[in-house]
Amino acid sequence: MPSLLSSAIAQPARNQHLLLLQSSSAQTCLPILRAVVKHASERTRETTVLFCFLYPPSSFLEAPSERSENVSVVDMTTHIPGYDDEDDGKLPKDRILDTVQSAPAGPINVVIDAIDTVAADTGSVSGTARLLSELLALVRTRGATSRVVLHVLAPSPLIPILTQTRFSPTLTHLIAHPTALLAHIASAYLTPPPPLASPEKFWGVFIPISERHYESERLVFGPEGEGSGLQEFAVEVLLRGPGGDGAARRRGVERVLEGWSPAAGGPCELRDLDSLKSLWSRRAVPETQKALDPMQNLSFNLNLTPEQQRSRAQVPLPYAHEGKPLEQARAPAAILYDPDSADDLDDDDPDEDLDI
Amino acid sequence: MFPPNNLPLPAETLLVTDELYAPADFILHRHLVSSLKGASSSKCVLVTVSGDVGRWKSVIQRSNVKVAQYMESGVLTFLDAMPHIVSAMDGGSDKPLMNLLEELKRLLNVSLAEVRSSVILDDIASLQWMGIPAPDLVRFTRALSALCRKNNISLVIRHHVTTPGEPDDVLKHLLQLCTYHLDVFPLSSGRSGAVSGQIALHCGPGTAKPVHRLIPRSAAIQYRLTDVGSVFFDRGTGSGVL
Repeated sequence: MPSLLSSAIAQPARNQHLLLLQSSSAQTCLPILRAVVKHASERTRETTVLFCFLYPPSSFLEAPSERSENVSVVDMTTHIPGYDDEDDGKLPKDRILDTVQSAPAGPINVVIDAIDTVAADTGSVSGTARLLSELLALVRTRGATSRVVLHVLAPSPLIPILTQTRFSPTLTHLIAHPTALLAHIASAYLTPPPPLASPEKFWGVFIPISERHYESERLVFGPEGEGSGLQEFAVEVLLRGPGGDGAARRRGVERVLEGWSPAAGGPCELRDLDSLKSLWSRRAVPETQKALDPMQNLSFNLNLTPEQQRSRAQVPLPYAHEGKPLEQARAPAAILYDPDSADDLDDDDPDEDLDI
Repeated sequence: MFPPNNLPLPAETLLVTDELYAPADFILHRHLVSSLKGASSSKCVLVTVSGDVGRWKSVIQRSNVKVAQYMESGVLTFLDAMPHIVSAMDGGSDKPLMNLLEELKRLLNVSLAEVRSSVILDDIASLQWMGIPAPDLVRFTRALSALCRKNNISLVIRHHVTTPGEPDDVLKHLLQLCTYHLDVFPLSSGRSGAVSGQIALHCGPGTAKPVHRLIPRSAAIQYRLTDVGSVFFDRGTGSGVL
């Protein structure tokens, strides 16, 4: 099966204009963003504009002298509200839209490294959502494979806004999960990831737990956790609209779980992740071994000859009724009580003076 | 060799987290001593919030560091953060850490490109506990990190973890900003006479290619504090080292 993650990174589909990458404190998605930027910069016919608000440009690209000409970087990491020496009064919103509008004609990839930081700096979630909506409309006019690539750190109030169909009918949503979460669900809930378990059963358990971020944080930062910064992780890929594999318009949303491993060169299947190998190495529960038959391999004969069986059947069994119901009628069950001298037995109703 | 000598390199940010039962003072002392003894021309600014400069001086003097000489030549500077913050808070400023950042910029004299400079901020959690709102702290650390990166200065920030397993808002942002994260935590089995604690090394999300060997918590290096410093050893090899 072609990897949806690979095609989302390297071969943007026509009309898939929005790629949303979601990290959390427990697991970052930045290696995927790095790969997206690298692939976009290699498509020299397209312009790539990278806005850095939180992470330095060196997190995504090589030194400026080694970058290709179709890539431009807007470093906003020093433009922090209240601490900005070079504040020219230009709002981030205007800076982003002006830069995109003045970019060379043709297909364009606009990458914003931390959209939650933009929202925190501007102090307005609705303002940021409006900015992104305008940006998306601008990028749509540029060509079929143009797209807006956004990275967000969950939990953020922007995520439910950006994932609505009203914001964008088509969406590729990549969510990074620590492998510890899948191992925990497999052991505590006895639900390993597909294809080891049925997808319906797995997603029904996985989705509510994965949305509770404190669960993943506890698994990563808690006493049994490995800490942050793990290089390989699981990626939940949600695809709404046509995909890069040329599939016809799909109905609803397609959701799969894939893996990311630097050792495997990036996108891979879950079974290729070292930390999850134990899930696949557990063989299917062997069929219950045939109960040891004590009748086999005996040195004496326990079988009966036909004469022995006949004579055994004639032995009367010591049961009183031999399982047959009694045929005579019985008197209805009754309690027979003989009161003695101390009993005060009368037929009056003791509650008759109650007036309820 | 642990911890690696070139951690952090210029323009990198190292986040050091510790817990109540495994304080990371010894890591900061080691870093300060190696910064002072390392490059021929270097500048080190230690920003303290608790103001215990005397204790710092007496500890690093034990490592044969001539503190008075370094302070006189300007190689080593102790910056007490409290007067700058208190004056801003008393004045009702909505950016109580701005004065501190300005003073740091002045001390670093950021035009000196050939001097290998480093800044140690000890610590960020105390600033949060004294009432500075988390968004202000996050912006201050972003500004400090950007200043150091722009001027090729290595930055070390210490943060005390009070709720292990549940990172607070400030720690979540610090984890995003750092290049590397040195995680000092106690033994899960409680206190021990032979082992003082454990250290793990993680890389930050923005680090494309980690240069140092990363150490997850399950394979953490153990350490023991001695009179003159600290000794590091792999789990299970303590008897050979101690």
